[in-house]
Amino acid sequence: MTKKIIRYGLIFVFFGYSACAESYDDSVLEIVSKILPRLVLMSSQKNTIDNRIGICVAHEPSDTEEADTLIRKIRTNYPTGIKGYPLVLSSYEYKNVAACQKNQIAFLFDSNGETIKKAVRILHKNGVLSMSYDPIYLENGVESSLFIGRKVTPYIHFDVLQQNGIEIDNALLQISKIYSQRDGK
Amino acid sequence: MIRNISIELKMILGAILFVLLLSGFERYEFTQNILSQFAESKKAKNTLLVNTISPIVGLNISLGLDDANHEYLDQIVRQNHDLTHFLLTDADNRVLYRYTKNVPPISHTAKDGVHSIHRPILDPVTQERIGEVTLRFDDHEYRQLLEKNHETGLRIYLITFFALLLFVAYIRQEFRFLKQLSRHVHNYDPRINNFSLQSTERKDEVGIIHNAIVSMVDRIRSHTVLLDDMNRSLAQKVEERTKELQDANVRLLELSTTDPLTLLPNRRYLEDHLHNIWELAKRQNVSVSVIMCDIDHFKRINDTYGHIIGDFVLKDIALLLKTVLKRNTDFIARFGGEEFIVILYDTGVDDAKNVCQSMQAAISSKKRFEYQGISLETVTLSFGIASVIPHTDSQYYDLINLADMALYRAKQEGRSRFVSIGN
Repeated sequence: MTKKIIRYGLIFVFFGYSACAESYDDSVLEIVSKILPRLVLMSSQKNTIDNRIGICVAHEPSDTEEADTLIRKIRTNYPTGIKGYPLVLSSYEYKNVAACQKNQIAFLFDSNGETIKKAVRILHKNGVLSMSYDPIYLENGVESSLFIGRKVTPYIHFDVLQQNGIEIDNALLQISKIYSQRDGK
Repeated sequence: MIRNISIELKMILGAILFVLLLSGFERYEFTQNILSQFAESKKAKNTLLVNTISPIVGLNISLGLDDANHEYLDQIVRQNHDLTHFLLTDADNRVLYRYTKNVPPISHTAKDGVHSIHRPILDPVTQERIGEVTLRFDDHEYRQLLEKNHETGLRIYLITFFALLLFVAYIRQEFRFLKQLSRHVHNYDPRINNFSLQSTERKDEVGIIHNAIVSMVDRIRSHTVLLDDMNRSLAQKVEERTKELQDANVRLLELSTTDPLTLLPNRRYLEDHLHNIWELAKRQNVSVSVIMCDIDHFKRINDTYGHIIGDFVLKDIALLLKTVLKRNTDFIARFGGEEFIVILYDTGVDDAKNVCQSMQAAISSKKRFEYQGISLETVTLSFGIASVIPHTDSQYYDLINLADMALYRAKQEGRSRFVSIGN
């Protein structure tokens, strides 16, 4: 009986954990790791750089490991920084997202819409460029994401960028897909 | 046939040909310019293409967006039909994208930027070299245009070359004709009439000039014959006139030196002759004798029988006196009126006296003088002889004066005698 209880308990924990944890595509994360520092340098955010580029990763507690993975990937791709700027990488849970205020960009792992909205509001207030894993959050005011279709391309919420006074390099715009409310709907 | 076309027309045709050739060259140059502009525009278009895709491709590579890169480059290849080869490699020379269309290889005349472009791909952020892109473009149209233009150029050159050859041959032929004409005109000598060219059938300007010269030479020839005849006639007339002049001169000389009545030398000639004899005797240091003789009572003859009879007497006496003188150097002249002078070179007074005696004998031997039925009494002469060896200071007329003095004395002493003065 005890064995049964233990077995069912383990099955419950496993499925419970699996149900709460999101699955992230490694290749997409790889792209994200490459795009984050460049997004800073190819936007007006480069004007806010003070000897370093700060990249913040916001996540739910369940995505801590994924966030670490992303940070590792960024470090792997940019071991000495980029264009002479060292990268300062940090990871915070959504409840501490305000800690991202001194960074140039924040990457948002999946969460519920309200949390995302709240985080975005804080980030925008502090002039931090936001990027989410899931493009669905663009409708919540996230400024950029990745469009994943037959190919993966940057996904830009141009209206929000304009509202926040952030400009994007022309080359980046050319390879990006521009988000519109219709897409969201 | 061609020689019947006027040079004027030939020149007009030559000018038209020249203008056509010039237009051909101009067209060739124009096409070359268009080709170079075509090449430049193609180069600009290709450069623009590479400049457009390079940052996008660079960004895609740097972000690892391989699928996006592929899709983008596929789209580029689809939109650029002249693109025959596209190769994108990363910094480690790994092929990231390749596209090759089956087209002929690019010719060796292919130009960079027009037919192919090779460009490094830079990271748009770091400007590091992250790959290379090589594009090749179809040069079929360009090559076709170039070949066509080269063919046109070659045709123009060939036409020009053959036209030039023909022109040179024609000029040489024309000049040979003109040179031959010039040589004949140069060597033409009307005296030997060595112009052998005949009239030509040519109707052009060269033919006209040729025939004009031949006609002119004919006229010169006939005029030369006429002139020769006139010259010959003139020479004959000159010869005749010269002969007449010479005769007249001789007659004039005779008239100027001869007494027309007695036909003896006159006084002028006498003086010239005596002067010469005088100078000769002075040099030879020999004697010169002068006998001056005068017909006694000649005025009475004139008064009695008239001057005509007097003239006959003078002529006879002159003839008689002349016949007495034998030596070549002996000389007799009429001195004036009824006076005669005899000059005897290298003759002393004694020999002169002998001559006088001979003269008296000759006169006295003529018993009577008859003229036109009139018989004259005996005529006598008085002689004055002067004989000297001329010296430096003496003059010939001194001798005449001496002879005159001697004659005067002979007259004073009773006439019909001789009186001598000198050694």
